[in-house]
Amino acid sequence: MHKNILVLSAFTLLSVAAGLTVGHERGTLDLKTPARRVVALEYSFLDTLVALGVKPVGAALGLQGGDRGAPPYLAPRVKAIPATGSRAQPSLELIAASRPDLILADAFVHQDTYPQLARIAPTAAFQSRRGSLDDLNAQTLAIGQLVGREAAAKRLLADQRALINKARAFAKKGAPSFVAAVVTPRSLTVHTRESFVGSFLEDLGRKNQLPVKDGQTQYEVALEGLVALNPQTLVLFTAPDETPITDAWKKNPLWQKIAAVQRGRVYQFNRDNWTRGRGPLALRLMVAETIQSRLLQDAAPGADFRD
Amino acid sequence: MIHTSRYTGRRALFIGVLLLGAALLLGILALGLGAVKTPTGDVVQVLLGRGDELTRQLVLELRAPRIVVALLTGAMFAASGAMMQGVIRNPLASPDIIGVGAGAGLAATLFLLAWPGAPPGGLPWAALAGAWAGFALVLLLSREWGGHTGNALHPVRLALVGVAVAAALGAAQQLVLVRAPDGLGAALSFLTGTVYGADAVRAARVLPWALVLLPAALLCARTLDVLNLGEDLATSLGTRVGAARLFCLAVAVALAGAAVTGAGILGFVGLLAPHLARLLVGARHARLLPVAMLLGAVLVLAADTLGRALLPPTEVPAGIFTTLVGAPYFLYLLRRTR
Repeated sequence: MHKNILVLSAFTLLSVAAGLTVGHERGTLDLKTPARRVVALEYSFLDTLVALGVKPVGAALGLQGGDRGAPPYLAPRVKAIPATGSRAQPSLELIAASRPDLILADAFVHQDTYPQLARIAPTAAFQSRRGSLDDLNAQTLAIGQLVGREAAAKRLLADQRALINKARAFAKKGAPSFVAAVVTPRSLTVHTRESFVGSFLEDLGRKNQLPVKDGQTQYEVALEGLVALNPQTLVLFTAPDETPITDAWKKNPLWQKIAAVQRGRVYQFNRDNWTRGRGPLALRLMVAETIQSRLLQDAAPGADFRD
Repeated sequence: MIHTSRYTGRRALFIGVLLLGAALLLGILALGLGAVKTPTGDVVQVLLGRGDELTRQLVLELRAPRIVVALLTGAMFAASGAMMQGVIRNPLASPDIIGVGAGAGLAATLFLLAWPGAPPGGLPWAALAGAWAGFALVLLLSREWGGHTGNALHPVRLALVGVAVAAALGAAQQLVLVRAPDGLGAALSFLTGTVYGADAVRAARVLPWALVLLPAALLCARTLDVLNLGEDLATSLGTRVGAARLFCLAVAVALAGAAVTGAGILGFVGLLAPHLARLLVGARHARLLPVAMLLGAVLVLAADTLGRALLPPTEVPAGIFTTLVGAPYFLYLLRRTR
């Protein structure tokens, strides 16, 4: 037993001396020392770094290519971070000029630019945009390791687990399943059990009605498709500055046929905070909102969350 | 030649040298322009093999491959357009207008879908096959069946059919993309006509094609001149018209197909560059082709440089600028061609 511990600690020492190795979607990254100058190309990475107390040297905060910028909850905390292009179109030049020793990229959005990013600095690709809650939590730990703050990352995850467990106490047992959807002026995209928000709400104790379809964790449906799903609870993620397409659908008699509408269980959340943050800070806010909105309780939505 | 008074070989040489100088100058300018400011002195240092690491990275790894891809694809689209206009004897013929670009785009999509782990050299071949298919479809549909023989293609008819076929192929591509796994749409984003993200790998992918096909195009110059005299006269001059036409078209379509894999469908370059070249040096292909290539190269490089320098760090796709200039000219040509 003692010997085992000795061997283990020897290994730990060795691994510290030899730098750190972290696996990601495009291979493994070997860093001699923890990264000090990090460029984050997705908001969840930014959220995680801020939560870990690391100030990135650059981030995809630009508005090119239709990006909406940092989510409102995060914006005040990332003001001082230089923008290196947008998520859709990272500026390779600005990234190179910020002399990073680590780039955090999205495995899906940046799959084309990955080889070029990797030539600028060691680049880790994670499934953020298309990741589930488990993926995002694993990334929190991986990012913590990469920047040498593994203990802090573990603490964040433990706090989050405790918070979620507390929230679960609010969840009504046997409440009907929900359909969660992001609504823009032009489309409604449902988020399945494997999507980030879809899996998060399940974790809090409510059941998601939708499984993954043809390998897609999220997909568009029209009004008729939504009526066919006939959810008992409908969770909509909208932006305060947009007119969601559901505003037009509400005038259609079909809308009134949806069980959730008849039960008065249509909840509305700010999608900028919910779907674009996806880090430890965002999660804290989201847990609070699921309780305030009375979604977990399966009670009629509070004033701020009515649609 | 009868009309030699204006278009002399000397004039062509002069214009060629002028354009070469412009391309060189623009290339150097483009090396110094971007989202990060790089003083001219530092850029020169890098070119002399010195300079600090960051500037080296910016200039040699990020900007130089883009410039190479822009120059090559511009020259290839222009050569392709010039040859098509020569063979089909139709002023409106150009790769993006007669279905070549759209065919290549669709084929590249299907190829990536069917074979996700394909080696990088495979994509141009798929695009080439698609380019041929798109082109064949347009030619087939715009032929007048009955009455006329052979080469009776009305210019506007060809353009109309080309636009319709391109729209149909584009729709098919969208349809495929809707059913495709997530990543594919992103993998194909470069097909929209931009040099963004062009790296050394992409430059190396286009280069061999350019090295073979651009000289091949120049070798076709005489054949194109003869074909331009009309089928009967060409035959009487001892040219095997069918074979000559096929060879020239093969080179033209291959040029466009390979260019598409480098920078996507850069709108109207293949139309604009040959027309400008004809205005400058006349219709003899030995002069027209090299001047058109240079013009195309300068045009695309200028468009890409402008796109990079206009609103940094936003990058406006080069295809938008070429289309902005090219589309009105296309409309003008349509009006003039009765």
